[in-house]
Amino acid sequence: MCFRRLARKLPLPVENKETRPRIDLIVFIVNLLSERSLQSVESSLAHLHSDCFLGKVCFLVTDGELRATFNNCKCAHTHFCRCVLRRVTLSVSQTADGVNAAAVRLQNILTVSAGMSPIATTALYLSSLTRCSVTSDLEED
Amino acid sequence: MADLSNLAGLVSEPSGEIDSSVSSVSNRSLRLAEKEKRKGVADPFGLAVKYLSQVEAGTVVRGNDELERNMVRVETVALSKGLPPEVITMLLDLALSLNAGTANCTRVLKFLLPATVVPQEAIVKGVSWLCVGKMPMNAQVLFVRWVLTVFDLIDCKDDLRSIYGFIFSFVTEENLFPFICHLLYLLTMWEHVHSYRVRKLLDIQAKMGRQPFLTQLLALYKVFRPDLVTLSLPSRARTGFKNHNSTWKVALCAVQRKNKSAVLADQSLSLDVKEKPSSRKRKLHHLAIPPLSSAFDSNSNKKVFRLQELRSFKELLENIHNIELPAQMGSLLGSALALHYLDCVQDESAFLRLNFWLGHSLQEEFLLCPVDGSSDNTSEACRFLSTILFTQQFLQEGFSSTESFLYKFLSVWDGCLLRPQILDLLSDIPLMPSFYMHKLLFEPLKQLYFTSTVFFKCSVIECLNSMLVKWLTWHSVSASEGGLDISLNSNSTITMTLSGFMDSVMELVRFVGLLASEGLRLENCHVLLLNQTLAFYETVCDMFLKYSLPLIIMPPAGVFYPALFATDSISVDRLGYIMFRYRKNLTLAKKQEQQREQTFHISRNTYKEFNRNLQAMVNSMWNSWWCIPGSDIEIDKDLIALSKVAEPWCRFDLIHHPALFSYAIEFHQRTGKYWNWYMEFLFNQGFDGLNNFIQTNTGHGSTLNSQEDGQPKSQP
Repeated sequence: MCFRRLARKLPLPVENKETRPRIDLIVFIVNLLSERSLQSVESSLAHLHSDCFLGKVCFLVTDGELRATFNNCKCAHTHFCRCVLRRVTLSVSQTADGVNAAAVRLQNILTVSAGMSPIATTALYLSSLTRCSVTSDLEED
Repeated sequence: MADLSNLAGLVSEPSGEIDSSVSSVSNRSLRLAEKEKRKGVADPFGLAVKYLSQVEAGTVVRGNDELERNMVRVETVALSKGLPPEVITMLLDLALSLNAGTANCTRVLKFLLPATVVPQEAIVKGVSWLCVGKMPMNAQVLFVRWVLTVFDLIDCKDDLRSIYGFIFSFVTEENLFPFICHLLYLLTMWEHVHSYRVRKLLDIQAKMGRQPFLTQLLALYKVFRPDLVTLSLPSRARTGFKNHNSTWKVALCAVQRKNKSAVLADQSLSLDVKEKPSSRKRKLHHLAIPPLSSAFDSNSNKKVFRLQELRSFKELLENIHNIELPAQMGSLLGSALALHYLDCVQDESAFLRLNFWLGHSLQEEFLLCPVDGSSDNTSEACRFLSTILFTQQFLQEGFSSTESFLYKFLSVWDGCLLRPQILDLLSDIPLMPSFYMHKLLFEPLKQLYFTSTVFFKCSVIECLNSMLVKWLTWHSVSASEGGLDISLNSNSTITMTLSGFMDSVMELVRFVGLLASEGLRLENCHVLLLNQTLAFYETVCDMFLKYSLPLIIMPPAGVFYPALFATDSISVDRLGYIMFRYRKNLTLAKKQEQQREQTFHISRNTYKEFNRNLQAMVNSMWNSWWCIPGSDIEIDKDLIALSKVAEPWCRFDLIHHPALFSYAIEFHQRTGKYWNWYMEFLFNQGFDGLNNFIQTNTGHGSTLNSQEDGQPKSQP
């Protein structure tokens, strides 16, 4: 059984701390063109324990913004943008099929993070497989 | 004198025609009524044209109702059917001479839609009016944009080419500069490139900086005269010439479609590319591949033939040295005839222009604007990519602009949009140095692969298999031409040695090995994924024998063991075949190494790996002893005992293997216990791979299916 919770920002409210089940995956839905969105994500990241970054954090970006970012990343958080783009980033295209596909991919990541993959694979291992170790360089050569 | 009288005749009443017909009314009333009716219908347009042709300089415009009426009449006809060539000449002259005022100049230009053809004299006259210099700037810009829009409809461009110098002189006008560059780009031929023109362009570039249109024009100059243009220019363009035809595009499409019944087109030689309906609102029209076929009366004393006028292969062959390329290079993509031309002639300027056009269209469509959800949008994009695929497969090589687009697109792709087309295009990517492979190809693919469904994983492995086959085929074709220094396709500047090539292939195979072994783990050895992987290794195992590439790479353990212990029989059979082929390749390689001093050398590790795998397989399947101490799959005896399986050591042999057990039972039910008969029975089920494997490695096997080298083994 999979529980999903939406939150505007971290940290989560203190009241429900005891009843909350273990968190397996944190997905940040980012709009790279919106200053507020980036600020909110940046500040929320500060509240996460460093262990979470070993495979339990994932960024979801809508693709229009991703493309636009590649062409003129004028946002103030350019460096942050590039860091975001290095983690497991799912880009969602705005079609219904695209949203479905992104949902399926999230589910695959979640299956591994929750420890339910058929042959035991840790979230850390999966993140090491999918990590983009070089920034994409779009200059023509 | 004759001229003056003509003029006098023109100045006379516009209704002179009716007067002359009225005089015969008294005699033949019936015929007159018919004539009247016919003329009544045809006349308004003809009258209007005649009136407008007589408008002189200094005519009062404001409040001139008659002028306005005639303009409206002509405009209506233009927007519905398009205008015949003579009328276009006349109207262009009227507009650009400013005889009807400056407001009417832009107005006329806006509805100047040709029905069939634009005579080149009209354009030449127009350029001469441009030289007079009285037109306001926006009218000048509009005129040049109009020329660019109707460029493909101009009947012959020889005169335009002869006034190339005059057109070139306009590059100094800042406002006109981008459009003039585009026009020059379309007109330039070898003889037009001179050092003084290059110098002028470089001066302008120094002042204005690197503008995309200027760079493209210089790139084209460079193709024709590389000695004159020495600076380095990109071979692919990110931004191309913008489509300047927005003002006329929709109306022109409508007119052309109406006249399409009059257009002859030989559909058998060109792919039918559908025009998009003008009713659909779309802001960006990048993907509409302009139609290539359009027929008009060809002028027989032309020097060059337009590509769209050729109807048959024979015509192409006869005129192959006089071909002129269309302005919209994209229209070549769907036509087989045009592609034949491109392939034979290997015209660098054509490839350059096509790459520019492609790069620009792909960039605009997929990278700069977000995809909205409409299915029209996606199906149009789908068709566009399919056309590119068709072209690439026809030409047997990929375009460099498609390649660079794919690298950029992969990093923003969600793995779902237009998946089959993108993966097919990916498999067309030519060879690249191994350093770039990781950065450009592997990283984005890994991210997508490991988080997607098993079917996506299968598609990716299939795509990479197809890529490998293409690279190997290319190598075996070009290596046979001798020499170790193999240069890539004619349009690329990278050269590659044999060892560089082998590095790249090795990287690719290792990468697929990683993808496959991890993928199989994540998907619990899904049977489809396993089969795609084994198909890949069927290509890999024969690299030496089939493609003469001295490289032998064994499958990793993460692929070998899932296949060996698979529960479906096809996988086991395929593995048998693969091991059989590996053995053949290795034996031949060893023999060649010993006989002659070859430059290649198969490392001892490869042999060791193969022997290990071979041992594991033969021991499991033939000797009924899979758990050998010291092997990769040794499991502690106590653990095995815990499973409470009777006789665990023979559980993976030919009888008890989970994939083959059903056959053993079936055989037993039919005949009893004879071992040789069982072997025959089993291999008659179509397990050729397994049969060959058992035969070569153990000397036993079914005599009915003899080996490839035709040596029948006798029964023990």
